[in-house]
Amino acid sequence: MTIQEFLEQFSILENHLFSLAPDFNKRQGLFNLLKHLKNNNKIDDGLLKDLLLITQTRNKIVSTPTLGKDISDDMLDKITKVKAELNM
Amino acid sequence: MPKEQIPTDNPNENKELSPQEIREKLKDPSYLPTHREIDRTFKSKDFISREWSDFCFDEQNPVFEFLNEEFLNAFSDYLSQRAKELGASEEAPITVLEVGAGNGRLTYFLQKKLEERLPGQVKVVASDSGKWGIKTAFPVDVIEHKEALKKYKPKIVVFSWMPYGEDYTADMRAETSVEEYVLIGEADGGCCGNEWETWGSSYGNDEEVPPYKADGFERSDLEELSSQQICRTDQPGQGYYHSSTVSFERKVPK
Repeated sequence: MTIQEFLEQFSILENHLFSLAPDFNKRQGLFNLLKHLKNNNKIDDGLLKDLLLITQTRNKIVSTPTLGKDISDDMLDKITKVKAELNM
Repeated sequence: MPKEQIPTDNPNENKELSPQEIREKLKDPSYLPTHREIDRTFKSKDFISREWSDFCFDEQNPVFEFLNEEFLNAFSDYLSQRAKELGASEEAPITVLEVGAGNGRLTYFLQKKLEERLPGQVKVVASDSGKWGIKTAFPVDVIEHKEALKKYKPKIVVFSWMPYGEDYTADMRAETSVEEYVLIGEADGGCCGNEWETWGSSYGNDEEVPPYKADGFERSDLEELSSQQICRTDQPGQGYYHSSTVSFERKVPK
């Protein structure tokens, strides 16, 4: 999976998560959104753990000056699993 | 009338630039685009357009925060107000230190705009460790952040896009001259700084006092400034909300 594909998948996932809480101020960030969704029982502990892992991977990528090339296929599996659990 | 059009006697000066013309102008680091110009130039229906990521993740000149006229004006208004409150004068100008300044572009524009607002009363200094080898476009003191804090004794420190997982704010709070530090970037578990040490936000630490609070600082999210921001993790055409500006002000004297 290329980094560009990963970031695109992440954006789709992020948009979907924000759509689960339409009144949430997006500027508070994904991390606070995940807390909000968990507190409102929209996601469970297992899903939260996977989403945090995906988010941390994304954070590492976008905080470096340039984009690398590829990312492990494990991450693609993780995204596929999370999307299925979210009925996306 | 679009925001970037300023009425003049010369009809050519009122002409709205095409996206291609703006792209050309953006090659000049001293050109500060408007929010609308960036939006028009890079707008896409894609979640992450190739053109946007190529521009922001450029090896020679990576862009983290996409500086624009509106944000710089709002930030300069804020800093000039704070400088006045902190007693800035021509006889005793205050120093604003930018740490992790990269190519020095943010400091360059801030100094220019603060000079218009408070002539001779605020000195803005850019510093960077030089570890990322970013090509400097403007004057930058290549020096570690701790040394820079000791050397310049700033009243205000600015850090745009603190490296992910790292925290430099404890060192800022430890420097007695520092009355406030302003962080720009993805806050609270985003891709800047350390979610707990820097922002005081984390799972499982709800009962604990955040480090900034323990050190006598108060956090304020500067919504007016944040609403003008554009950053590399936004996608023009899809909304701008990833990056924000947050102030931490000393409330308990050290």
